[in-house]
Order: sequence, then structure tokens, then C-alpha cells
Amino acid sequence: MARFIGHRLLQFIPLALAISFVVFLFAHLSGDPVTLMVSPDTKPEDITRMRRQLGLEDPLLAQYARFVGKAVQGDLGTSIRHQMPATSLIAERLPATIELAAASLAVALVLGVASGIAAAIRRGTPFDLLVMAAATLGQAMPPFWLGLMLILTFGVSLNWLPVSGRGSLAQLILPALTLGSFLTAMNAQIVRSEFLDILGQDYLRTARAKGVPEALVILKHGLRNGLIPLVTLVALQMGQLLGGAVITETIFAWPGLGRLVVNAIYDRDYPLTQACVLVLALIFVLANLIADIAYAYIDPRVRYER
Amino acid sequence: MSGSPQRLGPRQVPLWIRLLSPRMNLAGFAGAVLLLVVLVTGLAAPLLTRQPPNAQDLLVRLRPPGFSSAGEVPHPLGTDQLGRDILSRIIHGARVSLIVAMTSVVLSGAAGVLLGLLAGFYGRRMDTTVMRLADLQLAFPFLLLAMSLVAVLGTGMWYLVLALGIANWVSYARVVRGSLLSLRERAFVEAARAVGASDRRLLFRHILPNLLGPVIVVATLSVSRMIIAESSLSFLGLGVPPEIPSWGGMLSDGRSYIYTAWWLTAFPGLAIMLTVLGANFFGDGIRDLLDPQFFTRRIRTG
Repeated sequence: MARFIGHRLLQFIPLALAISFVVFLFAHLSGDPVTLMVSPDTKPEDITRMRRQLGLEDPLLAQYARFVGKAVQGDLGTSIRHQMPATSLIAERLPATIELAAASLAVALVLGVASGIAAAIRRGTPFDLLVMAAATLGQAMPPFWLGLMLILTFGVSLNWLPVSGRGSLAQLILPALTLGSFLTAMNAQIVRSEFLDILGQDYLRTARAKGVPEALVILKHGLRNGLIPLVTLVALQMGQLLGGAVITETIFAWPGLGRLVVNAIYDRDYPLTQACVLVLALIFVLANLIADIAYAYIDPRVRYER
Repeated sequence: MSGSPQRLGPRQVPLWIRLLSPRMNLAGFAGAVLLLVVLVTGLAAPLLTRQPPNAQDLLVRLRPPGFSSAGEVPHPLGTDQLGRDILSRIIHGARVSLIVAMTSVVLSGAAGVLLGLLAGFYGRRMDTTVMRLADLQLAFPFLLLAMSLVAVLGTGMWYLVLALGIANWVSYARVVRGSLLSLRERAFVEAARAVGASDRRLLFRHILPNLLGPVIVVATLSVSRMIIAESSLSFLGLGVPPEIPSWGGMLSDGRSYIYTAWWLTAFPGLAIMLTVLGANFFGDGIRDLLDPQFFTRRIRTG
């Protein structure tokens, strides 16, 4: 197991470097940050001097090496708009995004898995039909529209829940439902088909024959085996969550990384955009890494295959 | 080769016949019809609407659905904050939505198929390069990547298509490479090679037609993803420019009026949902039809 983890960690380094290069290239291609910093009537020689000071006249690879060198030390540049280190802006916003993503994932897992199992057990009943219809609709609905409709229903018409900001648990409910909806629907569908397979397995029949209560048969014997493929899926879903967070945070004025990056793009704040995209991509890759390791832990066969 | 009559390839029945066959399931058929309706509506938009989508009438701002101004011009779905007819904008928005979705699917499909062919056919270095590139791309959450590309390329409809195209080639490349690896060893490829077919002829004449099934499956399943991505980016103001009526843009406008005028946000969203539903059903139908083994596990990445 230690070897497996070590191997995977080693693979992470070149990938992280490649990601940082792409992000660096994006920022480089986006435009000249100096033109955004100076007033229009600045003399050309002053601009040139400034470019030299910032190291923008150096060869591309030298600039990249400097970028990585600083990034390793936790310096991701300075936001043009906020005049603050990008790292501290990100550190300030990151907990909010993690909170939202975790809550959405919890919604997707609990609601998705529970309804998927329930539908599989009651296969062919109206309940099953209802779950499947909801899952189909849930995957066709653009999440940001669902967010708006939730605001309309629970915020405007019923006036039950707050529709913006962060702080209380009540403020978390609507954003988490919005961001989690697609994955809830997807999980319900996958878990249902997974469980339809499992319910016919011999080991469940054996467990029943031993006199294990039905609830325990499902939860202990069934769920354990049904969860294995979900681990990989959850990691892939992190990408959906991090990408979707951008929109959900915008709708609900949630003070997270997603809003930070959207506003940075609006403001043409290249250093900040670059830093945010880099951090989000690294989080996603790390999530996948953790999932790989968890997968190997749950299912020993994986460790020896590679 | 064995002595028994050998199938030269899985391509016996032309694809278009299989698509029209009654084996297409009901949901898939319904999805196709739904998509077709949206497509025709979008294409015939100027004929179907009485008001141009951008025609403003400040006297009838924010009127609810069913409202007719002075008993003459009906607004079945109401008007927006500038007095523009919502129905007309939705109908014209269908055009934008489908144009962007389909062209970006074609673009990413062409790029992905080409890269997948190169990787699977030449193997070794080429394979490693393409697959590492795919890994790198998959490290970025899809929507975030599309946004970053828009930030680099600039805003505008065709830049959006380009960004979405670049962001989505990987699924094609993977499918093509995977199928090619098994096809490469088949007798009909060997036979073509034995009679001296060039690499290009082998790839495009003999191998590619056999890969069309899985590629079409991936393409139809990507349409809904593209529709949602386009509307998401337009909603954020990073997609289609505001002067072109788009569903995402309408939702973005309507957001400010959500407390007073629900119809501004409700209808464009419904349009997106129905179209995506149609695309999903159609995609599933085609998948079951062409590729029964592909089956339920549809893993959508980032």
C-alpha cells in the first residue's frame, strides 16, 4: 500500500507542473498586464521600463521558472484589482468553496444513494418511476436555472430561506441543493442500476438464509459492495462541483473561489485568474489522487494491477 | 486466417438505416422528435415570430404572460424589462443554442477523432503524447477550462464555439483510441495492409467507418453538455454577446427581476431543460442502438 501511494504521489508532480505551465501560458496569452496597470498617457519608455522591472521582457521559459519558483513558496502573484497577494485572497475565499462543495457532495451522496437504493428495492413501483423521472429531469436541468427557481420558490414566494450570503446553515441549504442537484440525480441512477445487480447476488441470498434482518442485508452486505464504484465517481464529480461552484456562487452571492475567479475574469485581473484556476485545478487533481488511494484501500485488487 | 467464412468487419448495415430502424426505443425517438422541433423552430425563427427578438417597446415593459398590448400584439409569454417579446427571444435563442452546441460538437469531434486515430494507429510516442495531453486536460474542471479559454480567446459566439470545442475533445480521442486498438488487429485491416494500402487509406477508408458508431454516441451525448455549458457561460456574461438573444443571456437579464417578474427566468430555463432532455433521450437511444455494450455506465467527467 505504501508503495502504491508513493507511486501515485510521484505521478502527481509532473502533472502539477504541466498544469502550472498551461495556466501560466493562459495568463501569458491573455494580454499584457502592464497596459492594465498604467494610465493611457504613460510614456512608452516608462512602459518598457516597467515591463523590464516585472521581468516581462525575459524569455518565456525563464518567466515560467520564476512563476513556479515563487508558486512553490506560496507566492502566486499580486491581484491587479485588489492590490493584494493572490494567495491571501484565495485563502480567504477557499473555506467558503470547500464548505459549499462538501455540503453539495453530502446532498448528492445521501439523497442520491438513498433514493437509488430505495428505487432498486421497489423496482417497478410508482416510487421507482418517480425517482427515475426526477433523476432524468435533474440531469437535464441547468443547475443555475434550478438555483433561480429555488430562489423564486423558497426565497420569494414562500419566504422560508435566505437567498444570498454565507454564515448560517439556512444560507447553505439552497446553494448546496443547487450545486448538488445534478450529481444527486446522477448518483440515484447509477446506484439504482448498481443495486439491481447486487440484489440478485448469491451472497445476499446467503445472508438472508442465515436470518440476517433485511435492513442489515441491504445496508451491510449490499451497500458495501455497491459503494466501491461510487468512490471513483465521487472524485470525478469533484470537477463538476468545482466548475459548478463558479455559477452557484454567483447566483447566491456566496463569497467563494468561484466568484473570485469570475470577477477576476471580468476585471481582466490576469494574475488573480491564473492563481485561482491553478488552485482549483490542483484541488481537483488532489481529489482524484485521494480517490485513487481510497479505491486501492477498499478494493485490494487495484493495488496489484498497476 | 481460419477457413470459416470470415466477417470482414462489423460494418454490414449502413449506419443511416440503423438510425431509422424501428429498434430505436421510444424515448430515443421522442428525444429525436423534440430535438428536431427545437432545430426547426430555431431555423425558421423569423417566420414563426411576429416581433423581432430585439424590438423594444418601453410602454409594455415587464408584462406578464398572456398580455396583449392594445389588443393587437400578443405576448403569450410576456415581455422583459425592455418590453421585448419573451417568446420571440426564446425562439431565436434556440438557434444560437443549437448552432453553438452543434458546431462545438463537430469541432471537438473532429479534433478528438483525429488525435485518437493518431494515438491508436501509430502507438508508442504519439500515443503517450496524446494520452498525457488528455490527462492534463482532464485535470481542469470542464466549465472552468471553458471559462479560462474564453478569457484567453475573448468573448464572442465563435470564440465560445472554439473554447467549448477545445475543452471537449478528450472523450472522442479516448473512445476512438480504445476501439482502434482492438480494430487494428482485425483481419480486414490486415488484409487491406497486405494488398498495399497506405496508412492514410487504411485509416480513413477502412478503420474510420468502423469507428463512426461510438463516435456518434459520444457526440450525441455531448450535445446536452454543450447546451448547458453555452447557457452557463452566456449567463455569466462570458458567452454569446448580449445583442444576440440567447437562453443563458435571458436568464442573466431576468435574474435582476426575479422578485417581480418570474416569467423572465422561468421560460428560458424550461426551453433549455426540454432541449437537453431531448438531447439526452436521443443520445441514450442512439447508444443503446449502436453500442449495446457501452451500457449504463455513463461517466461524465468534470
